[in-house]
Amino acid sequence: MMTSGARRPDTETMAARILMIDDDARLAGMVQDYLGGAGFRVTVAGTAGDGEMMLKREAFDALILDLMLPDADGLDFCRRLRQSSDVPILMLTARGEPMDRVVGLELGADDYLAKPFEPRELQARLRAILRRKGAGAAAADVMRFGRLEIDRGARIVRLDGEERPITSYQFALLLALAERAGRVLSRDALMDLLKGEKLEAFDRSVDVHISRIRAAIEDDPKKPRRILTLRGTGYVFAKDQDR
Amino acid sequence: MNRLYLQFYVTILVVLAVFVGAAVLLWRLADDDNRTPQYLDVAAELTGALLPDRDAPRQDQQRAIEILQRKLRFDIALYEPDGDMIAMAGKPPPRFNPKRARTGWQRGPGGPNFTLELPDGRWLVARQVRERPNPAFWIAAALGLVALAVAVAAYPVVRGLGRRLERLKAGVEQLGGGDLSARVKVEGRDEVAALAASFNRSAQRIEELVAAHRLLLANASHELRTPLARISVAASLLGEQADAKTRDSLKRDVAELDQLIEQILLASRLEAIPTLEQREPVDLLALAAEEASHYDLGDGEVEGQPVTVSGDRLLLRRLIRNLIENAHRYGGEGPITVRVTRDAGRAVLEVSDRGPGVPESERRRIFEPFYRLTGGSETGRGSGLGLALVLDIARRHGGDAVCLPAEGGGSRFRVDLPVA
Repeated sequence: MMTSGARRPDTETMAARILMIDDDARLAGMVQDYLGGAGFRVTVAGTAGDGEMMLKREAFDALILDLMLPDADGLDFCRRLRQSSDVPILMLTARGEPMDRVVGLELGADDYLAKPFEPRELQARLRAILRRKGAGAAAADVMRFGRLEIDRGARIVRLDGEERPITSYQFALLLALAERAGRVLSRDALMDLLKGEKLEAFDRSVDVHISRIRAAIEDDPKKPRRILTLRGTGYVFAKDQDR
Repeated sequence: MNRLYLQFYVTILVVLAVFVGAAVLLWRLADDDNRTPQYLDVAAELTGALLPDRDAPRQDQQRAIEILQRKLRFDIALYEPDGDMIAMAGKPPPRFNPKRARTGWQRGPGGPNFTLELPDGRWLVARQVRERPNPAFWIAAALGLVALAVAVAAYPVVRGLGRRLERLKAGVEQLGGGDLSARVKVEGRDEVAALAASFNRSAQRIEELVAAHRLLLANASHELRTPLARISVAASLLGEQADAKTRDSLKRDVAELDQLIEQILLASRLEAIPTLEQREPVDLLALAAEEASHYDLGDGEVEGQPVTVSGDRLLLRRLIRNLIENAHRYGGEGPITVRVTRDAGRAVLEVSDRGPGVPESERRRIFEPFYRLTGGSETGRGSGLGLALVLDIARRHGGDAVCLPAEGGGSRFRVDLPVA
């Protein structure tokens, strides 16, 4: 289990101030505790009105916004806020319909998380939107699959916001798989895709590289959920890793 | 003939034809009864007796004929035995041929003629004066005109009624097809208009009810997921203080409840939408592998060949997940095998388990919502919607789902879908 990640604040989120607008005070309290342990400073507002007031009084680095608020629709609030501010917004919703996701992001939310959620994932996503804000436009080149981030620009892979060590050949292999997420790729097809890549000092088979990558990015490398093997056929990079 | 307006119209035309036919028939019967009266016979004989002799001057004969014509109101002509006309009064008679003439009444083009051979060999032809040449023709013509007028006037009325009913039918079908915003135009103030108005009111009511129902479900989902979110966060907050087993079991329960809510929401959402909202190419084998990675398949595995289908990725994921979930729940401890193959232009997905299997009599019924196997245990119950959703999603994609026995015991759920 990766709970230790929550207790290890890293420098970029050290002083991150988060405003959480959610009418569920008990949930907000727990999130406050959890994110507090991870080095965030979380302020809670129970209504859209309170949230707006706090946003005027104080500068926040990011916003966690519930879709259903007692005094406003979270989507309207998000749209209104976007006209005056570019603070990163993470929408929380319990509706869970795929439409919400599109609408939320079109309205200017930076990310979206459905209730119930893993606090670990909330934290990972918060870090991601904070980092994107810091990095500016260059961050657009980051592929995200649930808690996993593949930064094509920096050729880095992160899990829960933490960099994972893999070699450059392994990164190329991971990228080749991730760019074709949700499709079965045979070993031959993978070799073809990696033809241009510089070989490692020891040329090992694709399978060995795959198991190295798994050791780096899977929660349990024995039961992989991100890179899957289909015996006799090839590999699949899982497209939906949200759950 | 299945168009209502045509039925109406043809009925009207048939009634008109019967009416005209009956009228003509009646007139004919009346005509037969109305034989030429006997007094004409007598009048003709007397006329003959009153004429001047054959040797009398032509002027005398002409005068006598004219007097008779005025008094009797007959058109009269007098001929020599060889057919030459001696005198004539009134309208000119048709050509007279003494060889074919005989005494008595005869039908002719201008009405009945009375022909009489006088004792001295002359011929007298008398014809009753008629105002109109042939009343039968005029009556038939008048009836025909009335029939035509009725036919022409009835057509737009009948066709209009048919059109309105057809529009109403289209509206009802649109509503039945799932478009709850379907309304029809209310035209006029008759029964059809009342029906249209009543349809609109019903449709309005249905739309409101469904909207309220969906809002209720969305709210219920929110209300149920709010405490779930708390439990989920609380479980993580327990951190290392709690024993890992308890924490994992708690998280599994949260996930299970979350799935249950999602199934119910999905089932109700699918009810409202008859077709697929979006389509994209989906690699079925890859999707099956992805879903299976979240389950323990025992010694089983995902196998087969990559097949691409065109469909809603979220729904297909739900279909595969429900099948694996079902095998997991009811298939005992044995291995679960997931196979994706291509068979005669169809993508075939099979999920097999080594459980007790499903009796043949129940293999269809298990796809009904909330159906439970008879004698099934109370433990490990799902939402009761899982397989119903599988079938719904398969059909929505132009495919089907069946339950078959697996070789060597257990169940084999087979879904076939059209290949993209």
